[in-house]
Amino acid sequence: MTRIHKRPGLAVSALAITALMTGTAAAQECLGTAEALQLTPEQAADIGARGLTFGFLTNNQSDDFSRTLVSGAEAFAGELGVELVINNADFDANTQLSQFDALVQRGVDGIFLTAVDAGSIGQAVRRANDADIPVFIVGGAPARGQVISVMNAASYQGSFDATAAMMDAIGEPNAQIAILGIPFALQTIRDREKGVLDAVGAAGGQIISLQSDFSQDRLLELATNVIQANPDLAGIVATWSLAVNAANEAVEQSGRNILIAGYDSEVPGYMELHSGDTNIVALSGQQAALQGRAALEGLSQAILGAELCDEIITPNLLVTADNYAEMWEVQYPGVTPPWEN
Amino acid sequence: MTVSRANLADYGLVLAIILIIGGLMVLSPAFRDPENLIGIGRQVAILGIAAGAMTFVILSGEIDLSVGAVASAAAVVTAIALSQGWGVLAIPVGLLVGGLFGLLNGLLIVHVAVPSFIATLVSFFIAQGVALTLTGGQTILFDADWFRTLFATGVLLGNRAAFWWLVVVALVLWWLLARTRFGSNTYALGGDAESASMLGLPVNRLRIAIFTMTGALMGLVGMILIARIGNARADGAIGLEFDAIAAAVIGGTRLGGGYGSIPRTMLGVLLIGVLNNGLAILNVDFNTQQVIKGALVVAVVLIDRWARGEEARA
Repeated sequence: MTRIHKRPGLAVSALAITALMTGTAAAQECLGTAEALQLTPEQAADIGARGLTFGFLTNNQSDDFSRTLVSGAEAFAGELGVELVINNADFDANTQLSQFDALVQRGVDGIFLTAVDAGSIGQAVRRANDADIPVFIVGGAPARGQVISVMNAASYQGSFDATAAMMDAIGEPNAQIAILGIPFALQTIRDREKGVLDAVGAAGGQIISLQSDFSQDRLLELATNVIQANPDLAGIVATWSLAVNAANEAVEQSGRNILIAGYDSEVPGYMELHSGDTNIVALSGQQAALQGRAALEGLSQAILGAELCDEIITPNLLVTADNYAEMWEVQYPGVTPPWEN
Repeated sequence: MTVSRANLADYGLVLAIILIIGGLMVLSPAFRDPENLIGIGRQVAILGIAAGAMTFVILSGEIDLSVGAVASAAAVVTAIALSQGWGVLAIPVGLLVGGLFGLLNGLLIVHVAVPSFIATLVSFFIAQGVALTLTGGQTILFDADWFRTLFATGVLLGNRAAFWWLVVVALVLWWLLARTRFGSNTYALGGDAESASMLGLPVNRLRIAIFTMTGALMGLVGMILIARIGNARADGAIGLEFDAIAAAVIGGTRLGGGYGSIPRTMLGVLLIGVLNNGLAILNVDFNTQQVIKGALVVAVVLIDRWARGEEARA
């Protein structure tokens, strides 16, 4: 009897474990990385033969990330044989809504966007859902409507790794560190700052200042003031591209030996690393070209019936004075390095 | 001795600056470091020149929303010229770009009868478009140490070149406004444009000259900007117009025109510079800084208006 009584218990446990394992297996079946999204030659040929048109909406095309994202998508669209309709909203949410609706009206086969305002794009996403057009977004999911996935750079890990490299180079306990950032209330910015805090904390350092602004000139002022006010400052972590430039300039003008880690590796940062005489220890580079390609692969995979995970993280590159030339080729494929011009 | 409202109007802003500087000195040893106090001068150079030019525009009863975009466009063109090896020729080119946008503003206002708000908005978009097209959204790097030394990083009498450019421009603008017919005509134009015209003042030429001068000064601002940071971007000075207007208004320049002065505008610039510097040193976050600066601007403007109420009745 005892055994009989025990059997249902065991069976339930076994069922629960099986269900959990099945659930886990199902979750693992979704495509969750840029690598997993890659199309096989057969899939690529299938997509190319369908004569598809994808909409590609950017919140702007005046920064390095957006331009590289678009060029990555354009290059892969040509390779794949799909038509790409690219629109730039120039940071205007209303313009982007109109562009989005025009793509739905046109009946494109998929839409990828970097939203000006993910909160206001929801109704338009719903209209795309009604028309069975898959939508793939960068940054954050809209409040309404369904997207096939949200693509994000590895903001936390990227800033953690760059900061950890800087802390390692400083090599002192209780090192005083300042953060120079951007006053955007975005998850990616919070993730970058969390990565910095954790890396500094893990190395036993202390954050003594957090300043932010949108303007490069004002960031230069802030960095200068922070350096001036803190004679024992050992490092600055700049959490976006213009802050990297400003921190580097402020440190150079101060003549002090303050090390720098940064999020975003763009031309000025690469040139600094190339110079061989820089205080920049490491930069975390977002792979925008890879994201542009993954955008089209994600839409293609959805059309082919695959399930994408809720979030797809693209890894960042850790760019240093030792590997900058190699990293440039990965981050900006096909673009001549600025030091060769 | 009693302090009248009129005294407050004349000296209230100076008193406010002294109180704020005193408070920051007590709160932060780093702020009272002489090197830091000297540094404030170079940090306000760009704002100071823009606010000085804006004072002329506002005094004449107009507004210029294009200054940030024009400075950015001039900065980009100068940086490209420097990167292409144009050397010293890059300087007149940058000034010319700014001056041409200013001339466009003046011509639109005078000959097409477009209000300055609209005309300068048009120039804003054109200048921004030019800068974006030329850069393709990229950061323009240039290698010209002499240029950076001349406009920003060189040291003279203990302060950087950017500060000395501000001093020179402020003195020239003060002289123009306070000691020349051009200046008195500017006051007359802003006080009552119709009467000024009936009195035979060259109102149209005056407007064109003021906007062209403002544009050329934005060319200078663009050069100081890229000399400070070592690169140029299409959006490098966007938003400068609002800070420049704020500094002029804090300095007591009447938005309707006809009242204001360069020394008072420079006090407004100093107030903003001291706040920016002090709040950053105290590690006050961006959002709180904005609130504090906004509240102080409102307080200064209200006190000034209250003080001038008595002056107007006298």
